[in-house]
Amino acid sequence: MAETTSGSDFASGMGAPKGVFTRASSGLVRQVGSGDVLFYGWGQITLGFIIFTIAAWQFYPGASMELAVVLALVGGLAMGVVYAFLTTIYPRSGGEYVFLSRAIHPLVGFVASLSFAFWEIFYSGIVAAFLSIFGLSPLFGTLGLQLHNSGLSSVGTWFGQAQGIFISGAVVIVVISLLIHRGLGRYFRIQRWGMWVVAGSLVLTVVVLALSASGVFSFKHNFDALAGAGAYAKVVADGIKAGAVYHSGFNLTSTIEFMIWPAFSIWFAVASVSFSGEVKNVQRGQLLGISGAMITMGIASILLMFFSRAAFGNQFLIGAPAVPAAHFPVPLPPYINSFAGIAGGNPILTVLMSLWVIGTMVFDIGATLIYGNRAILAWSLDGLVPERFGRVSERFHSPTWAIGAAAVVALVWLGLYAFTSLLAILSGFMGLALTFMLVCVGGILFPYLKRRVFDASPIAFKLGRLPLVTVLGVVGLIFTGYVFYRLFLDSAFGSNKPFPIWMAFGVVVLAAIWLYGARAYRKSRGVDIDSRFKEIPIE
Amino acid sequence: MRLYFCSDIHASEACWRKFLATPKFYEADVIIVGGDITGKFVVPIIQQASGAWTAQFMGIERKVRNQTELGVLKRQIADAGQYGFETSPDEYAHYSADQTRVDELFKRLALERVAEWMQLADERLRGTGVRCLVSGANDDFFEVDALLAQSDLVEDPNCRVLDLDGGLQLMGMGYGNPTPWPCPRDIPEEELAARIFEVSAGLSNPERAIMSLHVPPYDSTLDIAPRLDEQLRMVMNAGGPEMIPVGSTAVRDALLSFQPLLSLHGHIHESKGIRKMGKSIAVNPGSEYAEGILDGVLVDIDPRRLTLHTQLVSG
Repeated sequence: MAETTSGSDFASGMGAPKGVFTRASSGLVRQVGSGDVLFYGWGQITLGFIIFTIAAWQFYPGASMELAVVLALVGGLAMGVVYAFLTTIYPRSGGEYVFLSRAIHPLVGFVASLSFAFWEIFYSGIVAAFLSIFGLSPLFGTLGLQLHNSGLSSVGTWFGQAQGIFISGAVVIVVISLLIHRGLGRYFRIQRWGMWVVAGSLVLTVVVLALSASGVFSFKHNFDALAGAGAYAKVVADGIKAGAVYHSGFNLTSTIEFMIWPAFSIWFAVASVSFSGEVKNVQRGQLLGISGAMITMGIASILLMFFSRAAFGNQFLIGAPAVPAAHFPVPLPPYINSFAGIAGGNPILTVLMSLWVIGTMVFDIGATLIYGNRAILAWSLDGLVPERFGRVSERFHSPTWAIGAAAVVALVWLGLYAFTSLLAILSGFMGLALTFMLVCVGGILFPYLKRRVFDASPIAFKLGRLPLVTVLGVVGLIFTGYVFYRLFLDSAFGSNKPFPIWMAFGVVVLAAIWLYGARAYRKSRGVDIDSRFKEIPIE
Repeated sequence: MRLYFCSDIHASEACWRKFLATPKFYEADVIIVGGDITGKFVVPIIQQASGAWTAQFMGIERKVRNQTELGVLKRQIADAGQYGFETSPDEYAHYSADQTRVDELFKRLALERVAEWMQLADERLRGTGVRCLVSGANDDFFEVDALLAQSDLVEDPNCRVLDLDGGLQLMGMGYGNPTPWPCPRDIPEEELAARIFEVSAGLSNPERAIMSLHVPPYDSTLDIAPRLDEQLRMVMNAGGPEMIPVGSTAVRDALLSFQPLLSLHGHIHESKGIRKMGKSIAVNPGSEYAEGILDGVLVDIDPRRLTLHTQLVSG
C-alpha cells in the first residue's frame, strides 16, 4: 500500500493511499515491506538450474552467458510487468484463467491455466530428478574424492543413475506433499529458514569462486592433485575430441540462442501468488516482487557464470561436460558445484556450497506442487474436476485429494524421466512458453477489449498514446515467441523431440476437450459452468 | 427455488447494478447481499484554478478537463466502491487536517449512496416477484438500517427471521467478532453468540433454515486471511502472506449446534469456498468488488427433499 501524505495521523496509520481519505474502520492493511516482497519473489526462481545452464554452454560456441542472462532479463521483465499489471486488476482470481478468459475467450483462459498447471506438476517430478542429478550426485561425488572414500563416490554415482534418481526424488516429493498436507504455514516457515541457508551458501560459493579466480585457491592444482597430474589438461584435450568447440571470439547469434537457458530459470518469478489487496498500488506488491527477484537472481547468475569461467577456465568448463563419463578422469559429474568443491579444497566447504543447489531445487518442488494442487482445487470449485478434489481434511484443512493427485502425477513424470529417454531437461518449456505468450497477448489486447476496466484501473499508464501494458506485452511476446520458435529448432533443449512436442500441443487439445466435455457433462446434470465466469452486464 | 447470495460489495456501483441484474442473468428467485455495503475511500476531486479537476484514483493522478470527463471519472470511482467528492484546494486542506470532518463526510456520502441504491432497487425489481434481501454488517454504519427499511421492496434480515417459500426460513446476523479495526458492529464473541442464539430461537425448524451470518465460522477454510502485525502490515513468509483463520467461534458453535440446511457468509474477501460443517453446507463467495467483479453463489434448493446444489459464480 502507498505512503501516506495528507490526512491525519489516524488515516496515515491506516495506510491510506496518497490524496485519498479513509475512515477508522477501514479494514485496510498497510503495504507489505519491500524486503518481504523481494524475498518471496526469490523463492519462485530456481537458481539451481544454473548448473545445467552452464553445462549447456558447450553447445553454443562463442556465446556470452552473461549477456544471455541480460537478454533473458529484458524479456522476463517485460513479461513479468504484464503479469504484475494484470494480477493487480484481478488479484484473487487465480491467475491466468480469469484475466485471459475475460480479455480474450474462456477457452484461451482455460488452456493457459491448464497448460501452466500441467507443466508445473510435470516439473515437480522433473526437478525431483534434477535434485539428484545436479545436487546430490555432485555433492557425494566430490566428497568421495576429497575424503578418498570410494563408498561416498559410489553413492554419488548412484544418485546419478535411474534408481537413485527415482528413489531420492520420490522421497522428496512424498515428504513435501505430507508437509503441505499438514499445513502450508509449517511448510513455509521451514522454507523461510531454508532460504537464509541457501542465501548463505550462495554467497559462500561466489566467494570461493572469486578466490579461485584471483588465484588464492587453484582449481587446476586441486583437480590435478585429486585426478592425477595433467588431468586438467587432458579434460580440455578430450573435450575437443568429444566435439566441444573452444571459440575464442564472441558470437551474438549463439548468445541470443543461449538465452533460453537462463530464461528457463528466471522467468518463473511470474508464478507468484497475488496479494495486492484493496489498496491498488502497482508500484509495490507484485511489481517489486517479480521484477526485483528477476534482477537480483539475474545478477547472481551473472556472478556465478563469470567467476566459474575465471576459476575453472573457459575451455575446461566447455570441455568437461562434453567428455563421456567413462573417460572423465574422476567419477564426478562435470558441473560447477562439483568443481567449486574441488576448488575450495575442503569437504566442509563442499557441503556448505552444495546447500544452495539442493535447497533451491527442493523449494522449487514445493512451489510447483503447491501451484499444482491449488489449480486442482480451483478447478474443483469451478466444476471442471470431480468435487472430491475440493474436499479438505477435517484435521488439517488442506485439500487431501488435490495434494495426492499432484503428488501421484509428479511421481509418474519422475519415473518417466528416470527410467526412459522420452524426456529431456527442457521438455516442458514449450508448453510453458505457450502460456507466457498467451499472457503477453492478453496484456496487449486488454486495454482495447476491456477499455472501461482498463481506464479506471491502477495500470492505466500510457507511453505516448499507447497503453504501457500493451507496449510491454509486445516486447514480452517478441521474447517469448522467439523462445517458442527456438524450441522447435534446438536439439540441446530437448523440446523438439516428438514426445515433448506432442505433449505441448496435446495439453492444448486436452484442455479444449476437457473444458467442453466438463461443460457438456455438467449441463446434462442441469449445471451451466459457463456461468461460472460470465460477466453480468451493467445496466 | 434458486437463491443468489453475495456479500461485501462495499459501495461498488458496478457490483450493485450487477446484483440487481442477477434475477434475470441467473434466473434467481431470491437475491441476497450479506452485508458490508458501504465503502472505504473518499476520493477528493479537486478543482484547480485552471478549471480542470485532479484526483488521485487507484494510485494514478487523474486530470479531467470538462464535465463529460468528470462524469466518467466519477463513474469509475463509484464502480470501484469509492466516493468521489468534488472540492476545492482549500476545502481539501481543511478535511485533510481533521479526521472528524472526514468521518462525517464519509457517513454522508455512504448514506447518500445507500439511499440511491434503494431507489434503484425499487425501480428495477418492482413487479418482478423477486425477493431482495440486503443487510448491513460489521463495517456498516447503523444509520444504514433505517435507509434499508425505507425501501418498498428490499427486506433486511439482520437480527430477524424471514419466511421464504417452500417452508424455508432465513435468519440474518450482520454483527461480527472483533477485528483489528474499530468497526461499528464488532462485538465480543460471547455477545455475538448470545445474539445468534436469541434470533435463532425464532426458527421453527433449523433443518429447514438458511443462516446468513456475515462472519464465517472459525477455522473453516472460509475465514482465512493474512496475519497482520502490530502496524497492520501483512506478515510474509516464503510462500507469500501468512494466512490464518480469523472467523468467529460463536458462528462455528451456532452452526454445529443448529445444523441449518445452509449458511451464507462474507467478511473475508480472500476466502471463497464451500465447506461442510456437519450436515450443513457453509459458503463464502468471496469478494472482488474493487475490481468490479460480483462474486456470488447460486443455490438451487429443493424444499421438499431438502437437497441443495451450490455453484460459485463471478459475474
